[in-house]
Amino acid sequence: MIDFLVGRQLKSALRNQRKILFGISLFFNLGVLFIFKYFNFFIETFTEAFLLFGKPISYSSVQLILPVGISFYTFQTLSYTIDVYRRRIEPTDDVVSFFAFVSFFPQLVAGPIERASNLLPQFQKTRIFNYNKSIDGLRLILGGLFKKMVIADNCALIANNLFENYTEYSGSTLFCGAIFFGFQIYGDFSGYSDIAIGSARLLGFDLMKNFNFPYLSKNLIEFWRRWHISLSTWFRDYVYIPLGGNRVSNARLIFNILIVFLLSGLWHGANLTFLFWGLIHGIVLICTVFIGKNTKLRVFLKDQKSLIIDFFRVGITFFIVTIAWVFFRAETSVEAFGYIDQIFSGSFFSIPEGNKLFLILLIGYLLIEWFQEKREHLLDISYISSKPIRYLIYYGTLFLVFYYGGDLQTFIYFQF
Amino acid sequence: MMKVFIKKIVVFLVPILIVWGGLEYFYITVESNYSYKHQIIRTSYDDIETLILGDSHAFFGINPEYLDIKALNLSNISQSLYFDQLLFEKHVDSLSNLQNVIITIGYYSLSQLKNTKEDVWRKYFYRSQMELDVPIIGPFDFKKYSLSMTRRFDNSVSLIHKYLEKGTIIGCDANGWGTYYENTSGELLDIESKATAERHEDFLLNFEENIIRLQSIIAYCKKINCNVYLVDMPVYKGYLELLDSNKLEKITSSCNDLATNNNNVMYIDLRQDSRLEKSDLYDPDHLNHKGAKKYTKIINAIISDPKNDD
Repeated sequence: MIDFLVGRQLKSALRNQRKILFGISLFFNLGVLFIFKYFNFFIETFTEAFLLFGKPISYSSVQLILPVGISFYTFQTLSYTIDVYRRRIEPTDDVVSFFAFVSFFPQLVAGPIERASNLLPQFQKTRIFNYNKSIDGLRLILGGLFKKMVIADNCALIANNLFENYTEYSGSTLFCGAIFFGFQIYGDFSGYSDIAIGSARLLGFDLMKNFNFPYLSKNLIEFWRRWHISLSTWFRDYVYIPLGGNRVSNARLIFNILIVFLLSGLWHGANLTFLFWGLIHGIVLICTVFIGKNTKLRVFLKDQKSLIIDFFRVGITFFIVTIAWVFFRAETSVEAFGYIDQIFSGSFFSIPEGNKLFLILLIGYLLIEWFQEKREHLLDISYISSKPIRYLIYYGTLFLVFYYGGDLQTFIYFQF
Repeated sequence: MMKVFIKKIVVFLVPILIVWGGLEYFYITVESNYSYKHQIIRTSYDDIETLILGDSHAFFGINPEYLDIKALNLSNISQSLYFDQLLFEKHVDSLSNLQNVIITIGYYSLSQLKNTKEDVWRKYFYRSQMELDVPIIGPFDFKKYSLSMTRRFDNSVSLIHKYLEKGTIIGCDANGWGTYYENTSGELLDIESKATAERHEDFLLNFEENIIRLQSIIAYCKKINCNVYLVDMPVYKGYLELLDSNKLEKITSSCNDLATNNNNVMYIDLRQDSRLEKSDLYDPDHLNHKGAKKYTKIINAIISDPKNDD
């Protein structure tokens, strides 16, 4: 309601009034997020810091139930206020459309984080049934169910066990565990996004694409253009570019990138593990940017039009992303470092324990993604002219969902 | 275009609805442990003198054939005390010659909550195939109208496969004793112990709800002059060592309290029985055919002569 009212007032307010109104909106949005998500984290960190200097202080934490998806819709309403403040969009006078934009059910709890410029006008225009879009929506839902129930839920069983008992396994097994978690979080989150986008499409709404086959990225810059696109573009548009983007000195560029990734880590949760995760991505991305700036090294990032070189580059990117996932999954940073330490122990080159067939099947799944890379999504098979083959794929996928669906696991991103 | 879309969706769903209907037909027409036991108890109300309740430890471990008086094993895999009580209350008034009730008490029996992961699908089978009124099934729970929707598709497929192969999915004999834990050498017990102990650890020490359930059964049995035997079945030593000793002590003391406070209750603690051999076990906490025969005879001896309970 505050953002709606601020938006309306911004329309006619003068320069200084605009700043005050914008400040009010920022204060309330970030304030709510801070109290629910970060208050305890900061108070505990401060207390520990004081304790380090021998000055123990007493504190009391708040016990609040975190509203589901708070980070998603807070960022969504924030983007509305910022865009209105920057005069990029016109504020809406239609309170029903505004609330529908903030609480649109398919993407309310886990995104994609929509922009008002894309979603808000869709509530105001007449929607006409579109056959092709509806069919595509169903394909997205089916593909999303496959990713969530077959890939994510089955990987979760293995990853959970390995992360909970990591001291008992070899380095190679733990590395496989990190790979399983990588597929779990990908299947879980991109599956949810596909279901959300597909459901919205059935209702005649177009939501932004959130994943674009990220594990086929050839470097980390590309990875962040393909992974959680709605969040990475949010940070790009509302944090990175206002900080000066890449048209700044090298030192400032490093600062800008690190700030974005540390904030991105913090967005996921008030835990040091997420900060480390963001830091790893930030550092590797900085290296990638500077490789791109160097005339001699630039060749490593250029498209060589060679499958073998592409394969190696995808492999290296996947390796880095996988190692970073350890921090994302671990409960504490001590556990994450312990897990990493165990991975790179002497047993890294041993034969991993457990289900190797499933690992091979996951690689097989990546091959399907590679085959579909130029398409809109995993089950975008409209180009197949043979109806029986299309139906075979639909029924086959449905069978896999019912038959191989793992034990039900909560969506990971619901906690954010 | 909307009409074409709806028409295509309906056509697409037809094969799925056929499969669903087929599964539903399978569950309605093919007899399972639940419907089979329900049928047995209903046709032998006047004969049953001993009623055996409990989970898989009773299902596989107590064979009524080796008890001197006519008994029915009404236990089932993962049957909690919640369902033991519901079954007991449903049938007790019809069991005119009931003299004994045997209830097995395992490591998690007393701490087990109602509506656990195991009950996710079993509760619907108790309702549909044993005609139990199950309060944990809500009025708007649509699964109570479709057994095929309560189980995972792969489990349903493997059940059908088993039915086609063996002609039945019933896993117990005419006395209700579970038959498919055949004799084993017991060589894998040490390896299996760790995983089994981890699976059974629920970190719960609150026995209140289940003690109330037991007290309710005991009180009713007292009214009808019926004895209650709480039996802690024998388990593998290596498995036992991995369990929480405090919890084990609490189980023992709780059962002893029930026995001390009620003259119709006897606690038969066979948990660490020295007569147990590796070859008696199917896995760390279940008896096989040989073990079931041996220990049913031991239980029978104790029931027949309570003073000689060694």
